Amino acid sequence: MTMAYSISVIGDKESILSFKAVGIKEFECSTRSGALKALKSAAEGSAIIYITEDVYRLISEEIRFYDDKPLPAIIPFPGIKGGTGLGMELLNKSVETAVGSNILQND
Amino acid sequence: MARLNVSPTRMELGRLKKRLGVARNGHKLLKDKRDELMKQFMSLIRKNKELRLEAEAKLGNAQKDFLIAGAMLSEESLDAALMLPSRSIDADVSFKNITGVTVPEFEYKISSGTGDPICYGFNDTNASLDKAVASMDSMVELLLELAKTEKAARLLSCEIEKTRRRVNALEYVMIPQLEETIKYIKMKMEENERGTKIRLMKVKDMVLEKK
Repeated sequence: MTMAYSISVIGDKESILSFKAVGIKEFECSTRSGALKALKSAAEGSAIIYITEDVYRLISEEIRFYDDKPLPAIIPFPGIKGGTGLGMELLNKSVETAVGSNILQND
Repeated sequence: MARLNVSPTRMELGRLKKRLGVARNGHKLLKDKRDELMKQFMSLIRKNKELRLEAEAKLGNAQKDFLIAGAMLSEESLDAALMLPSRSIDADVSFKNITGVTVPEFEYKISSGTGDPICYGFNDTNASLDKAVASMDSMVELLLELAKTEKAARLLSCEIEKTRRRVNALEYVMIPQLEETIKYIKMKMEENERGTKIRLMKVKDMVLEKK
């Protein structure tokens, strides 16, 4: 059975512009409190939330709450200022959680 | 290893033996589950890494295109051009079960508007904006794939951690504890038996002496 959810993007105005153009629901924010509000409203009814790495860092504690829930999937992406390597960092972290040490490093 | 605080009786021994059986069974099952989860996780995480590298590179290019398009337009006209997207996209979510972990799968559909992402007049925009929107449009599928894989990998890693803790708790705490307690009860009962036997022999000697 399938259900329809929306797709959202959270971040600063320039970074989310490209997402908005293809029809993804946008939540603009730049401060921590704004980001929390955006996350809260985006989490209701969204299956996927794309979030800029900068904003992700601001509210990473709150995002962890959704880690073991099947929905929503919260996916960081590099903003307009360029990547900070957060996506890879998180990937390595989940390898470390699962395996105990990072075995992807040499790949 | 500490032994459990139980009274050394035959009843207790039976109970503990049953518990040990269950613990061994559970340990074997959980170990199998952990191994299977790990296998699934490894293939997922490799795919995830590739997808992320690809998506980040492509997204970087798309963002750059937008930046260039924006640089040639005034902020107002760029805002006005993209103010009302011609469509909105939704995700159709179905759930899949990987060794007891529910992971979502996404498929996108255009919920309203046209399939064409270009939502502005050509009068006060430029060709780079068209190119930027088109490159972003071609990325949607990749982004969804990334979301699916990354979420599945994260859910699996959480589950693996939980399962590993359970396996270790059973292997290094529960099972040794039960084994030690069972051994203790058996020894205690044997000791009691020997004690009784010796007492009987002594009593017999005393009775014979009296006669």
